[in-house]
Amino acid sequence: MVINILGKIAGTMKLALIAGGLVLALILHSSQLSAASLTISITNQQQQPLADAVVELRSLSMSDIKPQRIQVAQQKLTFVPFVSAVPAGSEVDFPNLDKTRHHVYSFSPAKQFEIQLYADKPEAPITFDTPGIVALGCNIHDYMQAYIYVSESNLVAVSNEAGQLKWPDITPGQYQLHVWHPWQLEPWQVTTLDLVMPLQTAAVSLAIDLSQQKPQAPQRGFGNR
Amino acid sequence: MLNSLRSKWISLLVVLLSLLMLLTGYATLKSMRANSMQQAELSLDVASKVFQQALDSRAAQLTNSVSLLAADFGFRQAIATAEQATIESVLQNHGSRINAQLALLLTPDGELLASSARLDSGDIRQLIPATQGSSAVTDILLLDGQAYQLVLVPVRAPVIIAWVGMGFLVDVPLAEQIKGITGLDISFTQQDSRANQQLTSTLPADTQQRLVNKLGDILATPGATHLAADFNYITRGKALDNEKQLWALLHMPDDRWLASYQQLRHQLVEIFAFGLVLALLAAFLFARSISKPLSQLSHFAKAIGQGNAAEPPAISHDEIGLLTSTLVSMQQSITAREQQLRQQAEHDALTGLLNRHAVELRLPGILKTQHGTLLQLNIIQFKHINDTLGLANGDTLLQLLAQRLGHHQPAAAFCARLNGDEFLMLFNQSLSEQQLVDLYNSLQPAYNIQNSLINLKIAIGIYPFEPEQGTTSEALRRVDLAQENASLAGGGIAFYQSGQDETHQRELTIIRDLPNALNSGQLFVVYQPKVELASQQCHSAEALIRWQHPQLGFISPVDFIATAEHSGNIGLITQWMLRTVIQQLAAWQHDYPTLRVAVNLSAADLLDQNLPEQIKNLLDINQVPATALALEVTESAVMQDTSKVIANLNTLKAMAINLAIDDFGTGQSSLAYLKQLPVNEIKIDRAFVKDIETNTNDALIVNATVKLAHGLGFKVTAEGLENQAGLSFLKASGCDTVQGYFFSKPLAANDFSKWLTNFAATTTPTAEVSE
Repeated sequence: MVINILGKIAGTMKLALIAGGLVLALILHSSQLSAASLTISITNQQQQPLADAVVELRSLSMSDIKPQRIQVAQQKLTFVPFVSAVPAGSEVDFPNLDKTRHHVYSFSPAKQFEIQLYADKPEAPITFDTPGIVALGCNIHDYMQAYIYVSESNLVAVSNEAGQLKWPDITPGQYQLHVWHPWQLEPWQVTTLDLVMPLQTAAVSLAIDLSQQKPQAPQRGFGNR
Repeated sequence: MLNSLRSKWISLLVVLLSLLMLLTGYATLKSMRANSMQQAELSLDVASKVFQQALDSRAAQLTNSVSLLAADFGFRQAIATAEQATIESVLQNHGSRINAQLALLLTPDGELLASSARLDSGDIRQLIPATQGSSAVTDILLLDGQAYQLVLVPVRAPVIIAWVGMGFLVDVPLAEQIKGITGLDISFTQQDSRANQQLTSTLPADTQQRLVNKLGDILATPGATHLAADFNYITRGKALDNEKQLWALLHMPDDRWLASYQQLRHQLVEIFAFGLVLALLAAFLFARSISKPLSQLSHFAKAIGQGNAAEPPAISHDEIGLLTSTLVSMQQSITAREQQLRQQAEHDALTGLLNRHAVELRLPGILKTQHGTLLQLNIIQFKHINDTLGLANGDTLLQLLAQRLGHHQPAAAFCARLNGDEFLMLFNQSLSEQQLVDLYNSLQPAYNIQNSLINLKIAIGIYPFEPEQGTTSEALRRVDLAQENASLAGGGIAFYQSGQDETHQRELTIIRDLPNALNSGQLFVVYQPKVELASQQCHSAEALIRWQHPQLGFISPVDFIATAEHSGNIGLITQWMLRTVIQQLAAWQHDYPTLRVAVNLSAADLLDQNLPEQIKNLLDINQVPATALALEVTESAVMQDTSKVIANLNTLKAMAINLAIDDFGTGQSSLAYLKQLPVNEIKIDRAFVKDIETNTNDALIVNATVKLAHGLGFKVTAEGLENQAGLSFLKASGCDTVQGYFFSKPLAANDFSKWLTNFAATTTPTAEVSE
């Protein structure tokens, strides 16, 4: 369910879209653009910036997927970053920056794997072919968690600490907007985004479980570093 | 018995004590019971908490176990395969590692993936709430009809990929385990109407059976404490699950606190029994302390009533003592009054001497053991003195006489006034003649009555007695006889002569037997003919009474007529005579119509004014003419009350009854009266007749009397003619009729008839001869 609302150029106009708790604001400049910049601000239900939220824009006219190669490090007994997002087919390295060994695994349907006790860097990266969410865990550090969002589209990003993510140069047009967060209370209802302005911003609100915290190494006991 | 003071006291005390004891016992036992119950409740509270803790700790243990299991990499890996067979086998494998009886796997949304038991949708619905969270949950649930302690733990990889549930049966081993901690028997059951009332318990089998019957009651209010008489446990339920479907029942044996309760009860009973015995004893002693003196007093009072000199019980200082002293003073009053009464009863009020009653009391003892002399004194003609001087002076005279008797020396053992002017003196010795004369003389000096000097004639009867000689009444009678003799002698002293008493006894027998003899035919009538000298014919007779006594033999009429006159029985004899003679006359009326029979009347008869009427009735009844009856009276009889006798005689004469004066010439006849007497005939006493032929004086008297009588118009009969010679004299003197043995002795009626017939036949020639 998409509602298009035209606003004035000089300012911004916020339009409230009520769909699963989503408020979408569009800033429109002109039509017929060759490239545009899209900034999306994500907040939680308390209007606070929401980090680690994944936004995927799926174009109706799907272009080729460009696999990436990223890394999810284990540092200070946590996965860094907490949430990663890659197009399908990307490869992920799991470098171990800690002194202790880790046993990284995933039983998620999108990708099941395990890298048994290792130090430093595994010999080969893991390829994530199937779009979906892969939950990462460490068999010897149960609290360690991390997520890899494997997208269908190339346009996928993770919000920063300010709750913002930005595509500086994307093709204007109509996209399906997918939002996901590990702590979200309800699954995201897909919305449509018309990218028509050269500098377009959008705001997304997502209700999450506020009680959750990012996994951290225990302050006491074994594996304190 | 129940009415006695003692039993009343005892019953009252026992009832009161029992009441008190029962109330005390009831209150004590009740509070004891409440206390015990409270303690039991407290124990149950503690046990209940321990039980809960045991369950919690077990849950925690199980949770740990299951959590470890859920964190096992291989387990998670197997689950991640999402292959049903793999999942089921890993569940079974890992479940058995921790000895779970039930293993199940749910999706993060609470859908069942696998289960070792067959669960229905209802069972699974119970589990869904637990999967909403993110941490382990334990609960006790009824799954597949079995109670399980179920632990649901999320399986993280690292996100929750499933919920694994491990169930542990809530069964006897668990109960035994908890019993080991709490020390209480435990039963598990469920409040589930669908399922059968299942019971798993550590109780013995038979006790379980009893518990099953009570489950309904207990589960109606499972949270309360249950105590049943026929179930030896105090039971309280504790809900195991949140739905309160599953219950653990904690059983505390009631014998522990019941034992102390029963011990107390036993002790109370003992105390009660002891108290009762004590109270009975106290009541008994107390009641005795009252009833014993009362009983003593009662005996004392009874003794007083019987006149015995009883010792009074000791006088205490209480009400009983008051009663005792009252009784004692009553006893003294009674004794004093008795003394007074005895004094009055035994003494003569006028003279102060003993009275007859006292004499009769004292004499028997004296007569039995002693010898001595009994004197009875009597004032001659005291009645006359009384009449002359007045009663008051008579009394004074008696007092003066009594004083002299009292002061006489030698002193009498006692002096008594028997009655009127009769006094009695008793001496413990034989008195010499001189002493008796002295006594007599001492009474002779004149008595001063209001300055008049009165001389008394005293008659003294004396009866000396020896021990065992006779009874009191005999002694008194004998001295009385002696005194009577003295009196008859006109005063002086008379001794009792032995035999006097026997004569007297004979008289008494006569008096006693006479009435009976009249009716039993011992008395009979004889007839002595009276012959007319002029015609030598017999037309009249005198009826004479005879008594043939069965013991005494023939009794002379002289004896018993006089006795009867003294005793006042002469009337009976006269009546009998009149009746018998008139009846005989009636019988003779046909053969001897001119026969006249005379009956003797006594002085007493003549004073009886009813006599003429009675005679008339007898004559009428027997149809005998009055002329056939003659009556003879003595001169002395006429002299008693002349006018009355003459009036009576006039009446009788008017009835045409022939009247005669009997024994003429021997009595104190008064010629003055003779002319007044309405008689037809004079009978000259035999004293003048029997010797008439030899004694000229008698012949003179008879001649004169006949002339006097004829002069006054009376016929003359001579009595006691015994021979032919006398008859000549009598004929010569002019006597009309003669009676005597010369003609015939008195004859019985039959013999008299024969004699009369013979005489009539033989006299005619004789008459001719004599003429």
